[in-house]
Amino acid sequence: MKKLVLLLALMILVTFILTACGEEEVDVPAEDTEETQEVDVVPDDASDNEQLAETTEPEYNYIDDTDAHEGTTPDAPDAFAFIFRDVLIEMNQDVSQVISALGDPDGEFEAPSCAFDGIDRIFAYPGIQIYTYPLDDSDFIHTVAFFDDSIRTTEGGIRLGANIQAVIDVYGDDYEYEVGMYTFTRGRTVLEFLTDDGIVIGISYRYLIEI
Amino acid sequence: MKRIFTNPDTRLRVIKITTAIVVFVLIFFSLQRLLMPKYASFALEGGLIREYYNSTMDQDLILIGDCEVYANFSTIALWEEFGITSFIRGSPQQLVWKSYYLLEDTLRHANQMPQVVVFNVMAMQYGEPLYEPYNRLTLDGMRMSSTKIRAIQTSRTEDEDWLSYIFPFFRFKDNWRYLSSEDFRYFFRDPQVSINGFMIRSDVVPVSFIPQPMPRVDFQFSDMAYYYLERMVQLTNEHDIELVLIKAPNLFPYWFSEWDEQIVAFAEKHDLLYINFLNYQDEIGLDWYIHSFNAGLHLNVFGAELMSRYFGRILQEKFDLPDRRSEPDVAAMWDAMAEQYHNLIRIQQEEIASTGRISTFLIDTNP
Amino acid sequence: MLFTSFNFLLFLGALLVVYSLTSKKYRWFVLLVGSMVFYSFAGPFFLLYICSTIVITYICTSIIKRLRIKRDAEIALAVEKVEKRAIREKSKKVAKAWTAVCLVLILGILAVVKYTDFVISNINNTMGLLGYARQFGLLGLALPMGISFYTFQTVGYVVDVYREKAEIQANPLRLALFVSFFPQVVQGPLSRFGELSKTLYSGNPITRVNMARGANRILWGFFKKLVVADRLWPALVVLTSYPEEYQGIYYLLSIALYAIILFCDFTGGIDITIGVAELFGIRLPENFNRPFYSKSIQEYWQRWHMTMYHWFRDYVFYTMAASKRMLKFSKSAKRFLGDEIAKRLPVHITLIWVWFLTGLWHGATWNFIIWGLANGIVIMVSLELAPLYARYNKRFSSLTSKRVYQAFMIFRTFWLMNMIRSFDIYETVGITFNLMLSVITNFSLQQFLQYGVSTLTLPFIDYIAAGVGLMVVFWVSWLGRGEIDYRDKLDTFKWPVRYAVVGLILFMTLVLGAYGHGFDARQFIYNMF
Repeated sequence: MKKLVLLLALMILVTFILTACGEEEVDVPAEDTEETQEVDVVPDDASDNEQLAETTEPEYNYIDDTDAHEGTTPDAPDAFAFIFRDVLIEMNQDVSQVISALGDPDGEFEAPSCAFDGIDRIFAYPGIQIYTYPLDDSDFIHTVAFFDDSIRTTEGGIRLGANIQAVIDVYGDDYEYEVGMYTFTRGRTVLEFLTDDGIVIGISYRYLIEI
Repeated sequence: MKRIFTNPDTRLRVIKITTAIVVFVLIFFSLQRLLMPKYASFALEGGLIREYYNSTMDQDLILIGDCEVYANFSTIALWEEFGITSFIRGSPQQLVWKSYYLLEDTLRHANQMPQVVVFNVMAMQYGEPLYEPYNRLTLDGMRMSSTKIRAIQTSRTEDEDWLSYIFPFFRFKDNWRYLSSEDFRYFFRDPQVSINGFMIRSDVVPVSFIPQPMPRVDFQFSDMAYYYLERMVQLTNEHDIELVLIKAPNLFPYWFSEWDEQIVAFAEKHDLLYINFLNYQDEIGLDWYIHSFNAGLHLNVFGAELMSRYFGRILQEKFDLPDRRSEPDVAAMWDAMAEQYHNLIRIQQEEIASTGRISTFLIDTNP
Repeated sequence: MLFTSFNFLLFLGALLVVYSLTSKKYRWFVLLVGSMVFYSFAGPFFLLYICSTIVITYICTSIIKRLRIKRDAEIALAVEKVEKRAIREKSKKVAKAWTAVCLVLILGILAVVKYTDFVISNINNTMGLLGYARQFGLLGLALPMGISFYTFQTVGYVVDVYREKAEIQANPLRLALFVSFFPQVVQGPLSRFGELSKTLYSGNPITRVNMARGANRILWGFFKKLVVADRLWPALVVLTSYPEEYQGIYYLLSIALYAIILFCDFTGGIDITIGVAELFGIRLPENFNRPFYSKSIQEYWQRWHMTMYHWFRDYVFYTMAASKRMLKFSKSAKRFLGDEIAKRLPVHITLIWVWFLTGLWHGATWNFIIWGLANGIVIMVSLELAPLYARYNKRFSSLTSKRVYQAFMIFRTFWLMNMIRSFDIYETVGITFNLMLSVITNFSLQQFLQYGVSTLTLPFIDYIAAGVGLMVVFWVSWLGRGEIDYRDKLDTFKWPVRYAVVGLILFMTLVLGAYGHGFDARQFIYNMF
């Protein structure tokens, strides 16, 4: 009898510990209707803050190479967007809206996916190329890439040829690094800076399409 | 066992269950056949891989790779000009490991080993499985074998499951929404989409604008790509087959010099012939204003014929590929295919003349 | 591991093989191991919760058992009746205390993991209203799979032990099997130990008949879940995610859709549960009895989720309504309210309390509490108006006996339940009430005529597929009318017809089921409680 009571006391202690140190709830999927969710699987991977660096990130000397861009910051704090010639270009936006605002592109290229009912398109404007993917009857922007150092990012005025330290000063250190590529994420959009020896050689805004 | 036949209840039960299983299997595989895409009016490239098994499987030349092989080399031009028998085992976005397994599959089924295998190196830039739809376009056409199993295992993306490859029914079951007369018309017989793997496009969309390539810092081909290229070398060596590496001509996507250097080095290391046709476009006589059907991505049939004549000469000189035009059986078969080929080009040209666009893509086997 | 996943079928197949190869004596142990493996797929950490419940229950019931042994020994020695009664009273008191300890602990685990954040957020909201800036942080405790179900099932066992209606299970591992039996741990049905133990530990062989009937039932569950519930779900998500855009007639559409989806989802899951248990020769209680044929809310709750209804009735309602405290209250209320009202008051108070708890059990949100209270109030009003209904039925018996009138009552009950149930699917109580009002203030008929269901992301052909599925559901339900198991009815058909029917349902599930590429596998709705 005494042993059982002792065991019960132990169980009470264990129970107390258990209920006090549960794990984080997983994000509630959009379609669930109840606020309290049961989780089937405790996720192994953590949040977006996890570093995925494959190589050691190089260190660079800071060179002040930014000219602050004084344009309007896009009204989309949870996503990257780009302002080009006073036209706001949002990722996953219907490209026809952008074209009607910017006018006809300098060049247009269609790259039919080898088999599918849909054509990826590339629209070239001075200094940038806009890449789209087809969905239903429209084309949506998935990438805007810089090809000219006259073009600057909207939030921080970073251009091709800038020093990566300037990028970090503007965008912070919450990025993922992989083989020269610094990727900053906001929601389903990313801003990527490709560097070679600490100098930015490629800049692109991208939307993470679900395949 | 004796009880099954002596006990009437058990006998009846066995009959019932056996009948049910047989009927289930029949209906299941019939539904699978009905629901799988026929690639007759949409994504015709999906029909390429399966067509090899309908051929004689005794070609002297096999070309393997992505859309740059099945669009840029005319098997009929190779035949008519040089008497070279060939098959193109190409498919969209055919990654290197898929190319290797397709080569293994080809050699396994070949009635006669080819003398030369040509591999287009464009896919060396990809080092990991990419898109499920492209996997299906290549793998679903392969006959079930251990080669296919290994190809599936290597090519599968994270969200793909085995069951849908063993039984494609589970991948395409929702096609009930899109069933059309085409699915019934081609229930028993697949449409023919190519002539020995070459897809015929005789329309012209001239080049107008070529996008700039996205910058890169890392040009090193992946270990996985090299691994499967090495295995291709081994496999061809085992069977005394000459392996030739090529980079087919195009204007887009971009082929970086850093990539080319790696292929040159690899070819030198393994004593392989490597031809980068991008360097010989003028010599070949390619004009991207008239020889492309998609503005510089691929050649149309006229460009492919030029390409094939140029390449065929090299192959014949270097590897002494036999001219089989003097073999009556072979000639009869190939001449019949040539008739289908020219017939389709004629039909397409008539369509272009009258409507401005092509609407016939399938090979009419009774021209 | 989802029931409607290929992995579950593989798991089940493997378990059947191991079970059949095991000797009869140890088959229950194979089920226990299988149950623990199944549960571990939800997260190995959560095994600690269910094991805590099992261990606490075992310890407490073991103590009660020892008390009873001691009691019986003392009674045997006692001579006087008075003495014997005193021993019984004392033993009962101590047993009651240990029962209470056990219930507090196991319900405590449930309460803490499920309701802590609800309490904290309400405190925060109240403090905010009172002008305090301080906010307490939420704990964010993850909910172990099936905790509501297995806790309640265990509570039923403990109370039955206290009431001496169930034998105390001396083997902790057998008790563990009762608590964690894998087909029912996810979403019920809630079983009574006395009934379940008759077949749970028997080590029944896998027979051809059980395999056939079990597989048939499982297939039926898959059909309802995949062909109807999961196929219609995306449309419901759109309707409920944008309440400002979908009002009036769209609200009616959404609650009707939800009724169909919930029915097919929940009954489908229970079919799979019962079918899986049947494969092993284990009998689980039925949980539904054609609820949409109910003519009143009361009747509805006697046909829908019956085991939960019976659980609350037996362990909460009767206990509270017949308790000394409640009787005392009734007596003292007579002075102020009169005999009639005072007699009925305990029932009503208990009723509201039971439905409050039922709502709370479903979810730690005000939506569910309001939902529960709404049910309780409707039933209470129905009870109050019962004499009036009786007079009405007598006066107009020629009308009320007609089939048309019966159909009207079914129709009325269906829509009344739909409206009450709409608290489940909208984000807040306020939104739900606004949408109810919108039926009058903003019917949106023109919008519906213009756009129909085209903006709900689901291709029209999917509605047709689900509609065909629903017709099959109705047909099978009609087969099972008169409380016959539809499988027994099927057995009366000639074997080619029988096989054809089952084959048709199988192929419809395979082809029309919302699973595989392009579909996100969905948990059963009641998994989430």
